[in-house]
Amino acid sequence: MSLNLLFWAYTLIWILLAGYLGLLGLRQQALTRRVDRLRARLGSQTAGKQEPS
Amino acid sequence: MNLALQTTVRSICLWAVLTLCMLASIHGVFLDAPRERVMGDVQRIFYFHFPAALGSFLAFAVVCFAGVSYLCTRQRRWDHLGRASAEVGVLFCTIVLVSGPLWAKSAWGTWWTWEARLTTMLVLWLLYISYLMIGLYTDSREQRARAAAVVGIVAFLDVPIVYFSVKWWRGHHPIILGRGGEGGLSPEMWPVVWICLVTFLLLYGILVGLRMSLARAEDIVLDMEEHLQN
Amino acid sequence: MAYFHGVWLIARKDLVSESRTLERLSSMLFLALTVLVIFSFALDFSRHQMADLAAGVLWVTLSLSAVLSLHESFRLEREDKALWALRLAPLDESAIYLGKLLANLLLLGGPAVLTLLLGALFFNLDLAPAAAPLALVLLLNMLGFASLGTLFAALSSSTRRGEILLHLLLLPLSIPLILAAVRSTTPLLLGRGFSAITLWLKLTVIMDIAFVTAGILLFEYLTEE
Repeated sequence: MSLNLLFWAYTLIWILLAGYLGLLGLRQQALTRRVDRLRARLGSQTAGKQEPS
Repeated sequence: MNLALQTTVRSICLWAVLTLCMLASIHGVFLDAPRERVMGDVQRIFYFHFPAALGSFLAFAVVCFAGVSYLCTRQRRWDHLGRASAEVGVLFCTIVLVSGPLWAKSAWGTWWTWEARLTTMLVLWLLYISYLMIGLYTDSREQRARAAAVVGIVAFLDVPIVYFSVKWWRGHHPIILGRGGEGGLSPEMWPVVWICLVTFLLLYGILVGLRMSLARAEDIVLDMEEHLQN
Repeated sequence: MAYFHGVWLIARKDLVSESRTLERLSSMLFLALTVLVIFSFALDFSRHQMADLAAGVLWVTLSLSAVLSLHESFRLEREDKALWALRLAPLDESAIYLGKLLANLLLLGGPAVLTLLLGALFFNLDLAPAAAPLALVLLLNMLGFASLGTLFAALSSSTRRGEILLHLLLLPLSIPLILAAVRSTTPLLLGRGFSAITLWLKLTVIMDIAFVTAGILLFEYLTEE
């Protein structure tokens, strides 16, 4: 019983820490996608204008 | 290019040190630390529970400091620091709230008691979750930053108040620091506590650094998107 | 002296505009009445220790209805950008805060007293012996609640979904206030003397000082556009 509780305490702590890192990773991915979109838009705009400002 | 390389090397070094510290703490917690006489092995939860609690207090103090700095200087990096620190603080607070009841189950026989420190942690958790939700209900980044700074300051002002009000309301928690008593630590336990404290401090620093750089990147992307729209 | 005159002018402005519509007073009172009725159905007051429960019920009712009223406190200022004009007045920003706080205190205090009387009626409580200390408890706790509320209402009224924000911010921050209020009301309802609650009253006074100071110092940052 007592060891069981100890096991779960540390398991949950690792899960929480890993979960937070995963969350940061997901946000990073979302941001990368936004940067890609931005880059695509920027590319088409400058291509249309023919002069980068 | 050189700068990017430098950053990579530094972050690899930090993660390596963190991994080593973490392994040392785990080794200390499960192998080096003596078995507690009264509570048995469950007491080993304490070695992560206590540093997480201290870490969350540190995090919330940093939120307050960042809030004051933001209001004085209006530099975005203080806002980033505040939000990053609050997030990590809530994470640590969650660790405390999860590990606390598991320990209480064996020590006091119930999962949850409305005991002073546990309750304070719960209230702090609520407070800083509301801090993190400010972003959902404000209209601009600038407004969010100002609101977050003010809330961060007032919330930290609330920390001692919450603690004392809950303490006078209820209270039985082993007293670790100060007077000895039954919850006191034996001398062989202290090195392990210190290793765990250092590990959590490092973990705090690394997580806040990660979150801050993410916030900075988000800000830059938003700037560019706004710039393109105009 | 001119400072306090300015504070009074702002408070009076709010009270006059409220007296024209009675919007905030009536909505707060109505919500309080409804919550009290719901509580009376939900809790069986004939079976439990009445005084024990009553203090909790009363303060939950009061704080919920106070948030509603507080959100309205800056609505008019924002609607026609009246806050700009107010900030142009030759007054310190903190005078606006204190004026608003004074008005809010009166506008929350009135319905709060009525709610207390209604609660006494519903739950068969005898308030007469403890009237004076109860009034003090009510005043001190409403001051703390209004000082936080005025500060964050300035923020919540400037955002589109501010009402949720006000609830989110104000309720967790005022947990110690509500706790102290309940703890100091219960002994009074049980007929114990004033000495039973001095500790909680001291804590409330400390909270009031802390929150009012925070409001005075931080208010200007939340009214910026």
